Amino acid sequence: MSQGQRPLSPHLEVYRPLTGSFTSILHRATNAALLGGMFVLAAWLGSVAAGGEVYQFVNGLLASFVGRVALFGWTFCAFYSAAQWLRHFCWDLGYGFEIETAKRTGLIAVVCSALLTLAVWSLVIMRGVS
Amino acid sequence: MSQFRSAMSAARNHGSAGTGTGEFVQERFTAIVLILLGLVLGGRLLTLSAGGIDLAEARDWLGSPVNAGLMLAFFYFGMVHAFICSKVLLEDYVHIHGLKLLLIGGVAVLTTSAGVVATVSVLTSLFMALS
Repeated sequence: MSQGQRPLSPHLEVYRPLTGSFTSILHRATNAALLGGMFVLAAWLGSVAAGGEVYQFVNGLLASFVGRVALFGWTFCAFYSAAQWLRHFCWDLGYGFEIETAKRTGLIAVVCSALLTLAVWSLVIMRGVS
Repeated sequence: MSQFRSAMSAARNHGSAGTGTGEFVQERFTAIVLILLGLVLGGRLLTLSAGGIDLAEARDWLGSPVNAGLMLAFFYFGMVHAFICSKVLLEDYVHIHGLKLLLIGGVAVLTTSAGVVATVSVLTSLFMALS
């Protein structure tokens, strides 16, 4: 098959917004964000080992408003990626391909991830992380 | 030279008959492990990294061989998973062959480096606490 006739992966510009393409693109975006999060986590672990001013600096960044927003975002990304993988496992086993079912599980994945993120952060705030 | 190459060797690594199945399985296996590790580590990781926790407390947590071991596992599986997922993205969206290889190589270097940094850091904290 020549290059031009191959089926394409969900490209942003060629799809009308649909649940299927939206959840797929969001999964890809969250995975890219989580890779960034892993780099930050590696930096934080490095700062714990280094101690002193390095730890103060990294800890300060994470405790800042922007840092908190980023952590909130990564929490959602982690939940969403897990939810999306659960959908993938069902698809791999041959279930959930019907359009209505796929739409519903996509919606459930997004909504549940959002709710779980809010629940976790309510707990974090209630536990008194200042 | 080409008459000594089998059809198989000419086809290998030049199309879809490459390492796809292995990566497919690895991607899913690491996803399962990461979901489980995330359930164990996630909450603690969030409260630790959300700031406001002093160095002693963070080192105390990493000073436990169990926590340090889980952290190492989290990074190993996380980086393998992240590399495969990034590779899938690059293969899907970057159509210039050389650039694609360069970017995949770049991600390989970055994920490996971050994994090494995290591993050395976790072990440093662990041995500091144990000694």
